[in-house]
Amino acid sequence: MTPGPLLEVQGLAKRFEVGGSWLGRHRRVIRAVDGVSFALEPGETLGLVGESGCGKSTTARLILRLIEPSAGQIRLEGRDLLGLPARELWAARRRMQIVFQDPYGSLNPRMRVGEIIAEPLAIYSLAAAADRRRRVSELLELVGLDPAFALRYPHELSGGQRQRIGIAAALALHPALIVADEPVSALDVSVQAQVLNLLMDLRRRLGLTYLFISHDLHVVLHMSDRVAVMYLGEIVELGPRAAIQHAPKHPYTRVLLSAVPVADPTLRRDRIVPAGEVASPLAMPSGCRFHPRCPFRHRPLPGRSPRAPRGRLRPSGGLSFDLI
Amino acid sequence: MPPLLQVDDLVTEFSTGTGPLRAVDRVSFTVDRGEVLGLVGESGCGKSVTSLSIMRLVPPPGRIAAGRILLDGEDLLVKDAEAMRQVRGARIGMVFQEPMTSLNPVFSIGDQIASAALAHSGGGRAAAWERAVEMLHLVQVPAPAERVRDYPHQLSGGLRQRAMLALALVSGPRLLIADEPTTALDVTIQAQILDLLRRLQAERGMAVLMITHDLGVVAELCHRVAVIYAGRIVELAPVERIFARPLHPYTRGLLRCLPHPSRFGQPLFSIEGAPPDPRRPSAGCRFAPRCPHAIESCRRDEPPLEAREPGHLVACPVTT
Repeated sequence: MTPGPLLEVQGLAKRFEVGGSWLGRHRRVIRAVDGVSFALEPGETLGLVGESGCGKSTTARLILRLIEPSAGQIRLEGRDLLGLPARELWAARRRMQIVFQDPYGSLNPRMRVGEIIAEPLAIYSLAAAADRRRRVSELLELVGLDPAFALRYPHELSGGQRQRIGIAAALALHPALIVADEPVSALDVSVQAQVLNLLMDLRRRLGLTYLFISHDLHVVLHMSDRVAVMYLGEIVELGPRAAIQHAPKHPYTRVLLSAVPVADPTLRRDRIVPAGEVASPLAMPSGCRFHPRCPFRHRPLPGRSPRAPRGRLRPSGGLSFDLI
Repeated sequence: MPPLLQVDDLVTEFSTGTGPLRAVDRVSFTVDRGEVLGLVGESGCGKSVTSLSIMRLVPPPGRIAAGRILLDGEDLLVKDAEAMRQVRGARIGMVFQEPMTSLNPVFSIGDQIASAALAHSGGGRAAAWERAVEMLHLVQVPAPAERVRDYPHQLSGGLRQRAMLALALVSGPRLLIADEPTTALDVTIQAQILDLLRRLQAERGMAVLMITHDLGVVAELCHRVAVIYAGRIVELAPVERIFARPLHPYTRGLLRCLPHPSRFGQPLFSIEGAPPDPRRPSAGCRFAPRCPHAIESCRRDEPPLEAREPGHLVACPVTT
């Protein structure tokens, strides 16, 4: 029997209701995540990239069931997470952990580093106190810090050190899947490089699978085997790194690639700059959601809305796509 | 003719409980007419304090402790507050990362641009209002005649940045100081604003001092670059040169630690350690503790910023 994907997401959606009176009049719906599907093979890194409000962080939180989906399926190691009773969900959560963007906001300032890292072990009653201390030392060394850091408080640490602590805590329970939500966005570039190298190294040594989320296309391309590009709640393109980098199909992917400033003046090129700004998710454009900004769109006939793209995203990688 | 802006041995200090903290330490550079100079470095390196010093807007307990800042040959540090206000209104325009720090939330953007136009070129209120609409058109705000009545909170981040640019440019300054103007924006909006800045700069022959942490922004926009580390300029060179042949180990490290399209997936070069604590200055080169090339003398003597080639200055005696 061939092992299936580690994580399978099907038709995932999250709607938030906003405004309106308590009777529900004038209430409007934001479709933050709208029918997202993908699969993650064991040991693979899938990158999720997009601009603010595209739904990438909401997708992360839905997968971990930190917020409840409005629709869709999430299967981790073959088990349907949405159907699980609380007790079993609690057990399944050991297998997936999250690393957050803000190493300042996500570490409890009143706890010592050692306690922060040991907390998941204590919650899952996994080790006696003495063993916990040993495991904490192990984890600190794993993320490249001296075990003496266990006695420090978060405020005594630099941003890069805090992010290492966040990673150590995420690894405490031997998870299979790490969801990294903008893990280096708050860091300076020299520290960013250290943390990215650490994440790659850990993946190799521990056989981890990553869902790596960032607004920075170059960081995502650097880290990922495959990349999913999101726009206004949908995945508009999903493919292997080389395909996304060298042969992007969707106009938004092309625009995104072309918009990133490259630190190389010899690569100054003509940019494809999209018109205008991202539409409000409260007033979602008809047809293809990118069409109002798309430099390649066909002009619709008067009175007709542009067609939605006819492409189909296949769950495990290949992309077929027609330009509108 | 003197350069448009000349900064000589600028020292800016912040007084703390444990004595003065030097955020900017003997920084010197010039900006020529029509030139875009990038000031690049990581958080806390002193690049923003340098720009605030030029505008004489360093917040207390900070103060300019030494140096000269010459605009068109005139020393800005000897001017009184009113004369300095005139300079900021008319001769130096400013845009910041967060537009809400310079836009007043209780006036429409039209009111703010029009009153700046009125203060600068006089004329009537109606003419100033016309001018505000023109400026919004210039910075490519869609439907400027309607948006001119909007308040800052009604605008998206990208439009706010455009409105701030319109406000900064209404008096036709010869120098624009832009402090991380695109850092808070999404990448497609950043591309729009960078294109706009480049176009306005070329059309108006305006000089720009661009403060940024982003080497990509530098490569796209700047003519020359000064790299700052721990309050000191460590390298200053034309932009093609700094990317093709960086000489300072810190500059080299910065360039190599970015994910690059030709090396995706390969381990990144990383600069070990962290910048020094400015409260505990040490002797010698500030980068020496993190530098793979450091030799004995680096830890003892602070290397001066010297021309290695015409126009290419570097503060490192070791690398070639």
